Amino acid sequence: MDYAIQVKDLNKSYGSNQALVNISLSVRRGELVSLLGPNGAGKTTLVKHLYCELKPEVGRINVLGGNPCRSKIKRMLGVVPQESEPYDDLSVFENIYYAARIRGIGRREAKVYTEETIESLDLREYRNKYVMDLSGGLKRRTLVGMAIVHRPEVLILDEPTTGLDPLARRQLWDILKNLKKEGRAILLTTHYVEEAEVLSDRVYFINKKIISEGTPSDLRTRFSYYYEVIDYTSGKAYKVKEEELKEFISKLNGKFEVRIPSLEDVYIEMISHA
Amino acid sequence: MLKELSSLIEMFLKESRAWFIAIFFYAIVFPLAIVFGFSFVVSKNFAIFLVSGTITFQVAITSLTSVAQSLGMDRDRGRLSFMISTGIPAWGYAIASSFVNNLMGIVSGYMILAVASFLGLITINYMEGFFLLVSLIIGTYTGSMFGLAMTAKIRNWRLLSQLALVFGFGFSFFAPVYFPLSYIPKYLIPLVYLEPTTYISQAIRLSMVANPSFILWNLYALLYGMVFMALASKWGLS
Ligand SMILES: Nc1ncnc2c1ncn2[C@@H]1O[C@H](COP(=O)(O)OP(=O)(O)O)[C@@H](O)[C@H]1O
Ligand SMILES: [Mg+2]
Repeated sequence: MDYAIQVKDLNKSYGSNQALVNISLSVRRGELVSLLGPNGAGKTTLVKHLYCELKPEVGRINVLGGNPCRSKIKRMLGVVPQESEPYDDLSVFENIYYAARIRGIGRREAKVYTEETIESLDLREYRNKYVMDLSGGLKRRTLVGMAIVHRPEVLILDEPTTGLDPLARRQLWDILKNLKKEGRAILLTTHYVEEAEVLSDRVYFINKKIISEGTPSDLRTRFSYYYEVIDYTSGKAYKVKEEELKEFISKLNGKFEVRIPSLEDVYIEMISHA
Repeated sequence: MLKELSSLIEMFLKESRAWFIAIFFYAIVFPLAIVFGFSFVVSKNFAIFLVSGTITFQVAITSLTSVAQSLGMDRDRGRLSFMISTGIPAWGYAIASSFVNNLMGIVSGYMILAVASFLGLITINYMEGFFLLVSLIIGTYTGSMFGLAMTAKIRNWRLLSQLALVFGFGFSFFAPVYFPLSYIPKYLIPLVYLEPTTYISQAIRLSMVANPSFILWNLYALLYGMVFMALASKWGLS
């Protein structure tokens, strides 16, 4: 199997607080994987290991077949760290251009790459604007530009849509979908269930340890201990266990609907039990 | 690595447009005013301390204080993480980020010299001017590494920003910077040797009078900087 990211038995403690417990996960090339977990679940701590801001105390990490601390591997990585901001006193163009240059790309090539990136992210009309004058959504888009300008094979985004308004969030989703189409491996962390569901090929539920893993629909069915039955006559919704479903429905007269729970329900269920 | 770091320096030079007034004031106007103002009250024998002390003071502010403050802010905004993800090491970022200020600092060092010799406080020739350059570069490295270590240890950036100022000024006035090392009472000597400015100021003053022991003090300063670079790495910034 051709893996872009492989993590094996990763553990990390901050003093007496163990943030990560035996984490193992993988992302294949061309795959978009989400790490879904509440605040404090250890998502950022995990992600920081993938570009060597933190080094593993226990466990092994392999990115594109190598150690992510090597600069050769870092060259093939693009990262949008959590709550990051571009440089306020540089323009959109300059932020993206220097993100290419500091990775060792020469002037002329960096210019071409930057113009292409600006085009593909629809940032043309903001090209020469200073970042401090931009909205949150445009700042985030500039950050994505800084992460992809050197055409990395792996893209890592730590809560890229947190704090964005719904429109800006959807615009960023479209950008991520396009980047995935180009064949990149993408790892995304989020605490929005909807986001993980819409974008990912696979989801890891994480809360210090990996609680569960699967495609969004896998997870939904695996955790459907109960069905949601909506009785249109009374307008009430019921949670019904699978073995009691037939009997329950037979008692209803009039129209009804049976649903398996949403990923959101599964998520709430899971983090409240973990 | 050199190519990447020089691109980073180019970026910081662009960015410094926005900070020009502060940089210009702290690196040029303020130190010149100190030398000029105090030149009327200082005795001839101590004139050299006024000049070398002010150059040291200015190195401390533009390296130690500015590195800790800007690095702390960049970490707070996720930019340090971004830089690390691109392969730029934290120490490289620290040196590059202080480069613009330090460039001004070095210019400032020579302007102070020019003003001081115009006022008749000191006389200096090319060789001493070159020795001073060596001391300025090493002093800047030492101060920057102290700032880097502070940033690694102190994660709250408000606290960091305040302490960076306190240390920048403290190390300039509670250390043998404006007066000779021999004036320090014996029991305070160990404390004084903990301060980077002790080494930086001796190196700067002795290079201005072409006393060969400036080489020794520069070696101490270099060593001091390397120790703090190692500490920063141990504390998670490398
Ligand atoms: N630098 C740090 N020092 C000490 N504790 C930390 C540090 N960074 C994170 N933590 C702790 O580790 C846990 C996981 O944090 P984090 O990785 O930021 O989670 P998430 O990104 O999922 O919100 C939290 O309990 C947090 O308080
Ligand atoms: Mg986080």
